[in-house]
Amino acid sequence: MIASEEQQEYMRSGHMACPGCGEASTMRLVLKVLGEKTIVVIVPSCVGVISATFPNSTFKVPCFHSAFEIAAPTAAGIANALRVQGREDVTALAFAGDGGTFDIGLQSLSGAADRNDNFIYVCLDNEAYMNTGIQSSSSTPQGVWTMTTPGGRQGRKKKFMQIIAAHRMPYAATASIGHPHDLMAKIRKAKNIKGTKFIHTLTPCPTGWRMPENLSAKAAMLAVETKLFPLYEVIDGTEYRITHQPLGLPVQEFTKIQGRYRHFTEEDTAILQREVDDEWEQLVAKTKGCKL
Amino acid sequence: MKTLLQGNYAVAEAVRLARVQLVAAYPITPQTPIYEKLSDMENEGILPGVMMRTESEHSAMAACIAASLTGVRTFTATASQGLALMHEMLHFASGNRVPIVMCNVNRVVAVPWAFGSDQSDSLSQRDTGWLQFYCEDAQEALDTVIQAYRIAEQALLPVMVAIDGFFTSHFIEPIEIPDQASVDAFLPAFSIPTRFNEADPAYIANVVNPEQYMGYRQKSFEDMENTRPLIKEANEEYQRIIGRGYEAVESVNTDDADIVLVTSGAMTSTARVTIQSLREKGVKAGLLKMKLLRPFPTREVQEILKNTRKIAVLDRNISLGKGGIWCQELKAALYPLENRPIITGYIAGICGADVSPDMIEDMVVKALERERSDDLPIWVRRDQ
Amino acid sequence: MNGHGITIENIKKIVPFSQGSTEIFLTGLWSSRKPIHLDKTSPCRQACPVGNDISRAFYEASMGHYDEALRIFRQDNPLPGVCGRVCYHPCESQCNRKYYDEAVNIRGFERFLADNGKVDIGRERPALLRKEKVAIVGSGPAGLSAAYHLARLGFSVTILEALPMAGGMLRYGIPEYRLPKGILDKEISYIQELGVEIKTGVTVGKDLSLSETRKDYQAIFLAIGAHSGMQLGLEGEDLLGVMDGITYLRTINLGKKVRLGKKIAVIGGGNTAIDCARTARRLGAKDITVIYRRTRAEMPALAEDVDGLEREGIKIELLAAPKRLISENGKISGVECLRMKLGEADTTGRPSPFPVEGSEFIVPVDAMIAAIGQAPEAAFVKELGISISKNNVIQISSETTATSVDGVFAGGDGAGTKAFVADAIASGKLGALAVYCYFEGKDVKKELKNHQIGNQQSFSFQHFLNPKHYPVDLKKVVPYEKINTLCFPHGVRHNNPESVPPKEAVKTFREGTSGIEASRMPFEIYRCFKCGTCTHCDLCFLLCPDISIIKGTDGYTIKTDFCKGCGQCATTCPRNVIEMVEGPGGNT
Repeated sequence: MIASEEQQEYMRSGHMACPGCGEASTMRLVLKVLGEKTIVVIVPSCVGVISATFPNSTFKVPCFHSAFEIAAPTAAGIANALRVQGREDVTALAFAGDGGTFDIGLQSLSGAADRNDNFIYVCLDNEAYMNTGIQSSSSTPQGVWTMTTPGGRQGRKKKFMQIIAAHRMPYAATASIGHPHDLMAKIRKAKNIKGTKFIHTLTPCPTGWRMPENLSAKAAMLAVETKLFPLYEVIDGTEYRITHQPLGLPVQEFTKIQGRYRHFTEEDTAILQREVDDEWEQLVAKTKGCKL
Repeated sequence: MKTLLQGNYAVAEAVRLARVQLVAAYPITPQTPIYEKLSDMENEGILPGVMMRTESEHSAMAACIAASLTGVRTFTATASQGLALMHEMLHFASGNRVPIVMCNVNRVVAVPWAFGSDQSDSLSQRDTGWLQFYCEDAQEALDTVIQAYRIAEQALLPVMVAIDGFFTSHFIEPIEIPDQASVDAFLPAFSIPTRFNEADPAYIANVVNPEQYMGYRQKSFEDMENTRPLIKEANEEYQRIIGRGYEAVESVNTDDADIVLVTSGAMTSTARVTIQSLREKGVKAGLLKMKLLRPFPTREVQEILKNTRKIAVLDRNISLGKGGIWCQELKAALYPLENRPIITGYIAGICGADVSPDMIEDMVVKALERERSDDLPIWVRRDQ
Repeated sequence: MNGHGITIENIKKIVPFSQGSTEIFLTGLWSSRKPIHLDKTSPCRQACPVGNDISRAFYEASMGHYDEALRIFRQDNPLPGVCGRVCYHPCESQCNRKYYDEAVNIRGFERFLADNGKVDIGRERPALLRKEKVAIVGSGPAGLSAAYHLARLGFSVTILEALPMAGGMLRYGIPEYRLPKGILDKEISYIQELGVEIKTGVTVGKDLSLSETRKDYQAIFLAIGAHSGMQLGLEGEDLLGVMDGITYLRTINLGKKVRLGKKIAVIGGGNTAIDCARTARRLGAKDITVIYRRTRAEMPALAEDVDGLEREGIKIELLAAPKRLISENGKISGVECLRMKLGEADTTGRPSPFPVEGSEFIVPVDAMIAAIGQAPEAAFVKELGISISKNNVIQISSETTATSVDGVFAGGDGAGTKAFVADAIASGKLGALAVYCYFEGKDVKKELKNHQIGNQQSFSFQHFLNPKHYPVDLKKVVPYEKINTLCFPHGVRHNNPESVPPKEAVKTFREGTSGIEASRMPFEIYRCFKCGTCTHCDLCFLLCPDISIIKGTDGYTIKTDFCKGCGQCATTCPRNVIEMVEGPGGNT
């Protein structure tokens, strides 16, 4: 159920996201939970397009378009200023893409997480540089087609949550637009924890994933239900809890609807399936003995 | 009463007196003692604001920009590579019209790796939209930082205060630390409204079209021009309340001078001695100390130098392919004069290399002998 | 003090400070395809002869509104407590969930509601009473159903019942251990509370002629059932120890004793046969054999009842048919049977059995019960000139229940509809509609079509009374492929537990199964996909990237000015409520 104070919208219609954009829906839900006392930091990414050009805004809350690699220190600077001003009822929120998080913004995010500055960082991971036209990032899965990996990406997707957990920040979680209630519950939780909170959301991109625009939320659901993108949370970098038991569908249920996987052979898919299974087991192992 | 302090600590004292609410910093030689001193102050509970120990200068500036937009007074300090790393953020600060004050402790930029003083780091940031002040000594550094806040917050533009690495930053000098009440009388509490007001929400810094972009740039240019009276007024007010002041351009014995030596930063102190001794030897030499780089004090230098025939410019910096940066700036400023002077550019003291009074004397004398301006600078180095 | 006098207005002039709304951009123009929310029909509802709005009842129950869920069942079915026990649940055979894991226990749910929900007769009463009087002959499921629906339409209804108590086959044909009389009594009492008068012990055609009845009532619905057991057509059926199944059951249910001995053969594979065998077992027969001419797969009886039969130690002799009855001293002593083989499918779709020559064998018995079918006792209707078939079945138009005589309608077993309870109830419901149309001068076929569920005979009474109450496309049935199963975790079906162990069961007529536990019911309710019924789960609303679905108090509306037509809402809707349409699209 949606709490009554979350009925309000803090994003406006008429924004410039492509039809079926997973990022826009994620942002909308995050803002729904955080409410009007929120300052949004965005950085160059599709968000910069979605949010519209001067003199219009899709946001009903204050927002700042910061630079690519500094989503975290920007939010941190705001949070510390809010502390000085005694406005700690206001949440500093950063939205950054996978490029801005896994790649160019990793250092500054790490710094902010280390200081445990009081803000929420939401990574909108669409697994490539989509805003600039589908170039590979370190979040792009292995073998996947992008404009800069026409033969399939060699590198493997960075296990970002492990990097995050290593910072031992008070709260980190994965979330998906396909499971909106879970996502909102995590934002709700993050809102009430002091320190750096990191939410890794998978935000399917019909344009970049080469799939019909009606499939993005379904793709998000499939990523979760195939265990490819499990939903869990990590407290203090050590306590793991799986928040949604996946159906455990075969990974090709997820890959087959996307053109970026079109060239995958049966063997490629089998490799991916093994990897997904292994990682799931590792995740389950981490939850053992946790108090949650 | 004066206190013995190194220049870096003097800057830290200025930050404390300015009631800075947020400091974000990252260590780099030779700036580090500022960061350390501010940390001591925080530890002792005498720093009024919060410290952010960022993982880079880039993030330090990012945090300052964000905090300043939120509505608090901010400070950072850096040098050399750190300033170079910040470069993107310097544009970002001025574009966002945030009144950040930063101290840059001048140091060479690698490579080769070295640590000595060299203004190239900050001079090469002259087009990033910041006001830039160059200080001669620790006392001036302290006073300029406090003045900088007043100017920055009136103009909504960031200000950089540069001091020479190791010379000014590390030399221990007797410093007069103003009392808090006087500083408070000079510098009101930070009162720029927050850009992030949930009651009147706005999206800051989103994409604009070419016409709009150019409009904002022109406005920023005009506002930078409009800081000239603010700078003057701040100095006069400081003088009135605290009893010290510094002209944007200071002239010494220039009225009757056959030659004027132009300097900036710590070398000015050596030049003062040299000019004095040349006068004693019968050479009618004058001195022009450049404190302000941006906005460039064109009118002031034109007025002072309109009758001067010969000028020697001493640059502790180098723009490859052109020459000393102060020299270039000065040449451009004096170009409209009817009687354009003969200007000789010297490059000396790079990386804190020795620049002794006799070396300066030699430069002035030789410049006096020259009958035409030369494009290329003269490199002055002790024999190796 | 503002030291420098800088205001936010000053700042707005020097940096991009955007406070305009993006709602000036009508992104709805990007696409002409828009979503539309409209409830559809679940396959279980289509399969239900009564047309119960099953998915909506599950939805209400999922919110804890059990009384409302029961009310939804009672919109179409006055006997949910009966159907919740004895229905052959074609709904479950068509349940979409069966493709995912197991069909939902719909019958168990209906029983749960009937046993635990509160009936609000006040809400079922008609708004206006009509002056026309309708007589219903027979108080079985068809008659009760017709009476109930006619009463709800405001008619004054009288049921004329020949037997001492109302209920027809439900009371006299179904044993207590399957359908406790108390349940039936309760549901009949609700019908009476609606104003239906039931006169028992009145045999039309004997105590009162049909033509007299016709004068007193402006319409008649004949629901006389089929209470006459069919004969095997073998010599010796008048022997002592030979009985037909329906007579056997009726006699027991009338509280009379029947002595048959220890060894009994029951001929037939339908529910009556199974009921006879299990009743005889409870009454002390030790050695019972059910003889059926096809295989178990073709048995018309419910599989769970056949299972119960076997658990109770009753033998089944499949692919066998009686050829001759053997007697000793004027009393039956054995049944000579022939082995059968299955051949081509007959008109019912089941393979026809044919005898294997020379395969005779003898089953020694003390008694034999032939439960091979029942026929109506309809001769009395000829008085009015109503046509009946040679099997005594009243001839009607299956679409309108009209007999050959104006103002006289007929349904249920007596009019040849399928012999299951649910079909009888459906037939009574259709009869009520037909009577209503008769008085209103409306075309019943047209009405039926307007409110028809899917492609089946059943129609929605709720929709007929108030089509706008639950806006729904009755014709569009949700196929499994349109269910977004990603929204549903797998879950084990909750069956109705056995309430009596088999060893005890053979000694008692206590009900053999119990209801699903109240603490477990929500899990089974959760298992139901609720195909085609919007549960206001908010998924569409929450997923919309364009903030173009507005959540209202009772549904969703589309901001067509901004909807980019991506269709995510339609694709991800767990239960296929949303569709993308060309044009303005819009709202429920």
